[in-house]
Amino acid sequence: MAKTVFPQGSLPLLVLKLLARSGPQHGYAITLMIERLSEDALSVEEGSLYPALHRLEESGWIKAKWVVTENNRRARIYEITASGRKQLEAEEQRWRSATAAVDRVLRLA
Amino acid sequence: MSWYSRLRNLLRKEELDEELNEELRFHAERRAADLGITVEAARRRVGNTLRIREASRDIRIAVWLETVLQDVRLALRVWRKRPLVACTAILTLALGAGMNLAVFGLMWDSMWKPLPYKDADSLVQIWLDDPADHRTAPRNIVVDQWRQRSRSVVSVASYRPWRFTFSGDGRAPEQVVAALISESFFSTLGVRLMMGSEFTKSQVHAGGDNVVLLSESFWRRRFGGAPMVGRQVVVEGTLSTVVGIVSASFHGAALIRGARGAEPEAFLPLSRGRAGFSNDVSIPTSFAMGRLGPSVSVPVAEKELNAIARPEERRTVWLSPLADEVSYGARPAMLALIAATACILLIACANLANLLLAQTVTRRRELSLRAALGAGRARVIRQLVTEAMLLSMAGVTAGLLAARVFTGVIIRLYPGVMPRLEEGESSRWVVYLFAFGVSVASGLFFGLLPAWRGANEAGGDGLRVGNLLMSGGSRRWANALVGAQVGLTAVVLIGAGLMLKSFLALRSVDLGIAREHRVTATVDLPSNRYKTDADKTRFGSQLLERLRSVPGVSAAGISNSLPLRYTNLMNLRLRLPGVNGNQPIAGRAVGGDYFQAMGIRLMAGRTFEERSKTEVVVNETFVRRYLRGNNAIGLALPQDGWSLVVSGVAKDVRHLSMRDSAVPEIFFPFTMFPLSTVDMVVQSNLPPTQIMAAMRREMRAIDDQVPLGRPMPIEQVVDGELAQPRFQAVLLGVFAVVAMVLAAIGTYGVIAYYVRSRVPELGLRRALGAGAGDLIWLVLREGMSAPLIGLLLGVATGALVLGRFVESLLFGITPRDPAVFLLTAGVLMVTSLLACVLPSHAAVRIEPGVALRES
Repeated sequence: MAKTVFPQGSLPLLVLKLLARSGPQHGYAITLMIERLSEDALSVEEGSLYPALHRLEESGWIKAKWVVTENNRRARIYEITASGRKQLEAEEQRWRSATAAVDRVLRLA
Repeated sequence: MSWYSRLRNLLRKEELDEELNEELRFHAERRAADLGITVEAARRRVGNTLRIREASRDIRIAVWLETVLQDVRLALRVWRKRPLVACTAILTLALGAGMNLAVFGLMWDSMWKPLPYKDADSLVQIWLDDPADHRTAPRNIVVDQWRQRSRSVVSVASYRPWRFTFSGDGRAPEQVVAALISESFFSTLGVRLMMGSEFTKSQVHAGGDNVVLLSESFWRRRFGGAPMVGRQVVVEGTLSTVVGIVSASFHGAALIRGARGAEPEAFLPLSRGRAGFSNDVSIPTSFAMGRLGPSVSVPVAEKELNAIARPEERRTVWLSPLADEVSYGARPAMLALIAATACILLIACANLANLLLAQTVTRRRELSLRAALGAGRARVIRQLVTEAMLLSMAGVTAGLLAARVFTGVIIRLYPGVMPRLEEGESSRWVVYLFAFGVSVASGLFFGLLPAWRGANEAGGDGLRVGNLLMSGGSRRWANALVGAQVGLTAVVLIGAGLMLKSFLALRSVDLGIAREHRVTATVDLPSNRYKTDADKTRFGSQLLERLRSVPGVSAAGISNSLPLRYTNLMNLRLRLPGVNGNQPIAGRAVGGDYFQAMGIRLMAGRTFEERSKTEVVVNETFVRRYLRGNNAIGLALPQDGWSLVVSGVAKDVRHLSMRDSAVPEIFFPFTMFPLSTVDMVVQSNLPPTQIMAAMRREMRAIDDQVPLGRPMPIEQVVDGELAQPRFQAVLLGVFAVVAMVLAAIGTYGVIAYYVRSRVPELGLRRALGAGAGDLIWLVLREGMSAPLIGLLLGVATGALVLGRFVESLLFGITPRDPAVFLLTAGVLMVTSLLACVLPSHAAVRIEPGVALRES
């Protein structure tokens, strides 16, 4: 199946949304969730998720901490912050209106 | 993420990379387990680890830079919208920091910059701790022993300032500023000569010492740069071989002659220095310095030098870094000045803190809005601090320009007060570094508090319209800042007041001589032309006769040492009746109408007969110290084989400096000790220039090979003595006024803001019947409490702490001079009151109706 490529700039929004809905997750779990939702759209280079996570972390929208998993491995889990939730709200709004505008143009053209 | 963790991120790159690696490894292992593929295959799915790592690292730094830039952009916008606030802040800082940077630059150049010698850190001055003087120069003979035997001090040199007549080359004779130096003077300093070589061991001893070194500038000026090394010139009447030329890049003025010295133009061997009254006795002491061996500590060297010197000198040898000694005299004044400018800077910062504090209140809506939109408390604080930093950087940059102007003015007004400035401006990076430090520190100082308060004000009901009232917390802080300002101002004012009063006391101190209508000058008689006592006596008599005959001259006198001119003093040791042992007495050989010409009053008896071989005049201190105030006239002072008779008592004269009271002194007829240094003083109502011209003319008529040296009215001599104290007093005075104005502006600003923010309340009070007096009282009570507390603290600091630091600079007053303290308190009370009265009148003018509508 041909891979769907995410529109530019949508990955952070997606990550924030997933973390807001499902609570703290590690990077691999986020990858799985995105794959499941978008039918492998991300899997070109799975690692490309991590820089995106770190940008969100630097911006203070998510925070990370190390935990020990059930089989005694260290894993880094990410959690959305309060300002991340506000950012998500604003971004979602912006995204909706932008895509709605694009949709409208496509339908009318 | 906090600044701290961000900074840590920058510093712990490896750790971050390791964390990312671990994260990716975890990802691959889980993937492999889920899909049942090898870890290696799963890893390939992850992609290019290196590129991910770089992208991740770039993001961490980029995001940080981005937010900083964002803050700066926002701050720029904030200040563009408030140009008045920004300009006020920048100008205030330019003034405060400018003065601070100017004084720091001068201090660096005159005290702290490295000496212009090789490895200057290992150069030390060698002193003896004498009961009379902590800084006593060692005797040359001991210095020679150190030079031969010391291992810890690898090189020892001695030197002293000198002056001589250069003549005999067919051109006009001139007095030359010179230095007497020992062997290895230049090698100790690590200075290479431009041509030739410095004196050898055999050249610094009588017999071989007909040698001279010329400075490059003197060589070019007098000989036009012609080849001179190996040629002979006449120095003090003897033919001497020029053995070398000292490059103009050598700076020795501050080292050899102190702050006010000129660069030496010639160097002579130490053995050429002869005591003035006898051409055979060489001067026994000079300043000594040495170079410590590698990794030798000062205590170790002191111990060794002590051990070597012990038998002859039962005094303690101590070493001081040469750099400290060179700026020794200027140090206390410079420290007082930098402390004063630091206070000014703090006051300026307090003003800005209050200005920004008021700003955060007027901007409360904006800040609250940002907080409501999700900016955290830390984010608001960071933004506000960035705004302050921006002002601070701009202000201090402007301050650097202002400092240039201040420095130029200070140097022009007070040339020669600070040492080592003639070495030229050092590299400015230290000043820039200091300026950067100042700007960061002051930015934090006046930015943090308003930012913290701003973040507080942003919370709560900040979104309510029209609320200009500071919260109680912010107002307390504003008042604390005002109090601190007034306190600092009090300290600066007290310091300046003490300095000013000292200066006035010093200026009007009774020197014991007349200051007006007197002109002095000096000549040095070359020893080849004036060999015998008879030659010198003849010269003295001739000179006196010619000076007296100049029309308009009412009295003329000669001496070997004029007050405040540091020429050759005779350090006599005389036997006195009823006192054990020989006593050190300062001797002066004077002739003509010296006492009248100098304006020294005779308190009893009369002056001596010109040709007398026994009569002397003593000073009041002599009578007090040795004769217990008894009648001295006619008293005989029998010595070994000869006897003196006191014919008169002269008023005490402050010969050494204006600060030091007289020591026991004795005046002889110059015919008893004819000297080769002849100082003269002429009393006349004619303009000084006319008198000086006449003096020059008469000198040429007697001997055209002896130039008249340093002709100067006594006023000018005294003025030179006052240069340093005047410098301190005037600069501190200016700083005090600036401090006071800044503090008054600060107080005014806070009170005015208080009144403005309470217009509705004050209007209501007015409407309810409060009189004008009630409102004024309300404002004054609010406004004056902080300045009063600050004033009390400042005065207490002045009384308890300040004295210790300024005591050495004071003259004639105690560090707790009540007049200065009272005046300071009074002046600050009045300015604070003024600062409060203007806003309180604004409060009275409030129209109740308008005010109530406004709310």
